[in-house]
This record gives sequence, C-alpha cells and structure tokens, in this order.
Amino acid sequence: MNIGVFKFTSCGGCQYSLLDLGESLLKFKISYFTELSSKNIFSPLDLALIEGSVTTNEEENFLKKIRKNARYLVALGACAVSGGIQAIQEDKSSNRIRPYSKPLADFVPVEFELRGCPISKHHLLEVLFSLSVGSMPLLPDYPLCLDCKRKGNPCLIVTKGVLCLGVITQGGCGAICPSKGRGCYGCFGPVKKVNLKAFFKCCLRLGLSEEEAIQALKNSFNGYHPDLRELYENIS
Amino acid sequence: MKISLEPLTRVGGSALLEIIKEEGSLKEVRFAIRETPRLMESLLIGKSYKVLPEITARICGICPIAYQITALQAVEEAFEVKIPQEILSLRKLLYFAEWIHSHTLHLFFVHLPDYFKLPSFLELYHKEPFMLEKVLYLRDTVSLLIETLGGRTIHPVALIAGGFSSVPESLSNLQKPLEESINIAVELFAKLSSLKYPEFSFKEVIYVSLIGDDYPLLGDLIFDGREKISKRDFRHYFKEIKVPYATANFYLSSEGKAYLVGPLARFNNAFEKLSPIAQSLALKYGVFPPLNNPYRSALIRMLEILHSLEKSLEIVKTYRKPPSPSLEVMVKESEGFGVTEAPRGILWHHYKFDSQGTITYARLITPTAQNLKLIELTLTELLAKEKELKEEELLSKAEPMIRNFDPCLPCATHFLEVKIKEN
Repeated sequence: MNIGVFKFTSCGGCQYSLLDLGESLLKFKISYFTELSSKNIFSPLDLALIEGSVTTNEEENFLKKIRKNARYLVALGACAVSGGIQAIQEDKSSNRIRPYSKPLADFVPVEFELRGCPISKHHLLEVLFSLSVGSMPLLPDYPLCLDCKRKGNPCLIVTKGVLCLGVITQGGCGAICPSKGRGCYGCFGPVKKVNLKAFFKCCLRLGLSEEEAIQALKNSFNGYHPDLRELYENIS
Repeated sequence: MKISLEPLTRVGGSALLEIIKEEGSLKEVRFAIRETPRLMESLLIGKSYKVLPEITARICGICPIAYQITALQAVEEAFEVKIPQEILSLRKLLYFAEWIHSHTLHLFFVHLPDYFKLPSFLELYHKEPFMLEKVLYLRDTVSLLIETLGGRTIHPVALIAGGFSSVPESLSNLQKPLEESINIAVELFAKLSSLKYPEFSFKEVIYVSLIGDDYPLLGDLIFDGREKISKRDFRHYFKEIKVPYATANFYLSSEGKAYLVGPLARFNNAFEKLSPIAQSLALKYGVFPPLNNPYRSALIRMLEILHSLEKSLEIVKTYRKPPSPSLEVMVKESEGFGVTEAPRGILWHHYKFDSQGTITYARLITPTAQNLKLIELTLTELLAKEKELKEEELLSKAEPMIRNFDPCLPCATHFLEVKIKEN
C-alpha cells in the first residue's frame, strides 16, 4: 500500500502520531512525507493521510491535486475533520463569526475521518491495517459516555456538577479527560446525530447559559464541524 | 537575481529558500516561511484563562507541554497562586519527558539521516535496525511517562491552573524503564560521538537561555552571556522585525544582533549544571563549552536527553502522592508573564486578564522565531563559500544546516494575519 502524508494549517501533532506506531510503521510504503523524508514521489497513492485545515487558495488547490492522485483520502484529526481551533475567528466589534479556515470535506470527498486532537494511534492503525488487507476500517461512532461506563468512571456531570462534553462527543479515545478527573472538552467532535437541544438543557441544569454552552463548543477544536454550524447564525 | 529553492524537506512545517544574487555572487539567503498562521493570540482574547493550557498547546504538536506550563506560569503569577514544590516537581517531570520526546524525534527521525547521507529514517533503520529498537524504547518510556501524568502523549489533558486535575497514586512503574533508558542513552551518545561532523563555527552569536541553580528549564531569569534579565523585562530585550517574504516575524536583540536560543545556548551557558552522568560522558568525549559548531548540536541534544532521564528518575524515585492535586485559583484584574525552556529554547508568554479572569491581551514569543535571523545569517555565510555548486546542490547543502537548528515553523507562525481567500 502506497501512502502519502500531507499537512495543511495545523500544529503537526497528528502526522507525528505515525512515529508512535513504532515498528508497525515500517510495514507500509511511505512515498510522500516531506516533513520526514527528502525523497518524495508524488505518484498515484493508495492512501493520502492529510492533517490540517484549508486556509489559503494554495492549500485548496493542493488538496484537489492530492484528491485526484489518491484512491482513499483520510482526514487526520480535528483540523482536517472540523477546521480545528483556528476555524472560527470572532469579530469582537460586530459580534460576527468569520470562518478563517475550513475542513477538507468542504472542498473534496473524504473517505475516512480520524477524529481527535490529536488522533488516536489505535484508530490510525485500524485504518492502515484494514485497508492494507482490503477490508473496511471499523471506527467508533458512539458517544464518549460509553468509554466512561466501560472504565467505571463516575459521571462528572452527575457526581460533581461540572460540564463534560462527553455526552455529545464521539467516543473512542478511552475517556482520557474524565479518567483524569476533568470534563471532556470535545476534541473528538460531535457524535453522530448529536442532540444539541438536550445538551443545552443539561447545561442549563448546571447553571450555564446557552451562550456559555456554545462557547464551550467553539473551544472544542471542532467548533466549525458541519453538524455544529447551525449554532452560529451570524456567520459572515 | 532571485532563485527559489523548494520545498525544504525534513523541516517541521512549510518553507522555501530564496537566494539573492548580485553580479553573480550570493548576497543573501532568505528563509521564506510559507506555513499558514493560525492567529492564536487573537483567538484567545475574550476567552477564560482556563482555556490557556488547551488552546496554547495546539500551537505545537511537538512541544505542547512547553506551551501549557509556560501559560500556567503566567496565569499563576497573575492570580498569585504559589505552586507547592511537589506539584512543581511533577510539572518538571512532564517537561523533561517532552524534551526527550521532542529531541528523539528531531535527532533520530529528522536529523540523523544527514550524517549517513540517507534521505530519511526509513532507509536509516534498514541500515541500523538496532538503533531503531533503542530509540523506540526511549520513546515508549517517555510516552508512558507523559500518559501516566497527562493522559496522552500529544496534547495531554491534566495540567490546569493551580496544579493538575489529578495526580497518579504511584510512579513506580516508571523506575525500571527510566533506568534502562539511561543505559541506552549512554550507548547512543557513544554511537553519535563516533560520527563525523562537518566543521563550522558561528562568526558572531549571543547565546540566550534561562539561568538559575539548575540546568535551564523553568525559572524567571534570562541570561545572554553578559547580563541577567527578568522575564518581565525580556520584552524589551528583543526587537520584532516584519519581513515581506515570510509568514513569521523575525527577532533581533535590542542592539540589533542575531541571537540563539535552544540546546546550544543552554549548553554553553550552563554546562556545569548538567546531571552527573551526562556531564562526565561529555567530558570523556571532549564535548564542552565553548561549543560553536551547530552541526555538533546533535550531541548536545543527546546529552540533554540523558540529563532529562537522570532528572526524571530522581523525581520518580522520591515521588509520594501530594495531598491535593491543585490549589484554588482566585481571579482578579492583573497580568502575568511566563518563561520556560521549551525543547527548542526560550518560550515567553505575556497575558492580561480582567476581573472575571477573561483574557484581554496575549503575546507569545517562540524559540524558533527568535532563531530565524541567525539561521539566515548562517546560511548566507555557508552558501556564499560554495560558488561552484548548482542550484539543487545548494539545497542539499543548506538543508542539513537548517536541521541543526531544529526549527518548528507552526510555532514560529502562530499569530500573523494573512490574506484570507474570498469565496
């Protein structure tokens, strides 16, 4: 399997997760990865792993070029999936939201999304190994609450009355934040069929206004995910 | 005449080199950074101080802990929270782990292929598989350390204003792997010492690092070889320059000179404070200050890995779970400064808060941004000598030199405003 690794607007953390795969990484043929190799061949790829969001015309054009060249395109992490923390810039004077940077799927079809800021190396391995043997990767699509139940974590909302975005966030990370005694901040993005109405009700019960709840979603690194955009009416 | 050499490879981020020629001879090399900025400082305005460790971490996927701890230092100064020694030790432990994680990434996956004339670590490790095993062991050890304290290796989650969201019951699971890692680091240093490093010496350079009782890491005094500067006054030390060809600002000292932060600066300013094994090994192999050859920075990174491992082991051995993971934070209208030694050098933060703890001002100066000017001057000096080289050969001469500085371009370009495309 011929792999290319690309980076747009982002911190670089997700692509370096590849190195955390250890020796498993050596099983794959990486033909394009400018940050780790001086020999890069932009030949037809089986798999393009793309980190980062799209901010400039150059990035948009390069993304389209990669798309034409790759059989499967994988969005790596919250920037590629949702636009990242940089997506939403708020104009303080007009109180409007400016989408500064956008997710890959706003420009090209994306076959697989690896959620998280950063991604989980287990999910990355799942994609790499499944596709290399010709089967479809199985990625989590359940809410984070399930991870907490599996780990036996007491619910922070119920027992401590603190805000935890786990109730509307896609699981699969292993409930890293609640296991460390703090509320989930949503870096895996909204879960499928996210129920925002119920979430706002829950926030209200915790003494948080809808505005504060929306602020928490904006800070989640996935604030500009397509399923959350309806929250902002004042997008310029 | 201007020649563009691109793309630069094995450099964290996107950049190219511009070579300016006049009457056939090389006049200037420009480090034309193309990385897209993410406007992090303006993002922070209007948000609560509580989001600082989360959001500033995202400036860099290689050194997030450096951003978290520096931001928290500023928050805790502003709100007068005095962090107890045992919590501070745990933060240092996380920070040492990040030095090792970052230095092993750069040294063995990015930089070392140059010394074997290979294009990447993939080819290198088919040639030297035993080295990969050892390096992976080091990385597994520090990943375990960071996960134990912070929940995950990249963008850990447990650092909060006032301390940690929770602390481990015990760290005894780390002792054996750290002891083994120290042995491995000694072996790897011997291996690196046997490599041939090109000759080069900085013509003029100011080494800027933190200074204190220990080898630079946390602290509040900055030293430039002549005087000590407080973290508050450091903002008057540097001059910011905007350059039209890069999406990052450049920095000079207030008197207009290029300066260097990072491993070489720390080593030259504080060699005698390195941990015992690291120091005796350095002396044994003849590595001591003044060391002005950037190619030998590989050896300094390896010494800093060893130093961090020794220091980590000390903390792990004496760890007892603190009675409380964090102190309460009482917000007030105020400002705070943070300064620490990120793996690549001095990272400086300055924030102002209103009476609710909302951020009203944010300014961050990163290590790579401070080194950019010296990188350019060094490249100009290096390439001006190579009159016979063709364009593509110039690039292969320049890249290894750039890698000596371990630049991180997402860090350097975190804030600038760029033209946004219109839909």
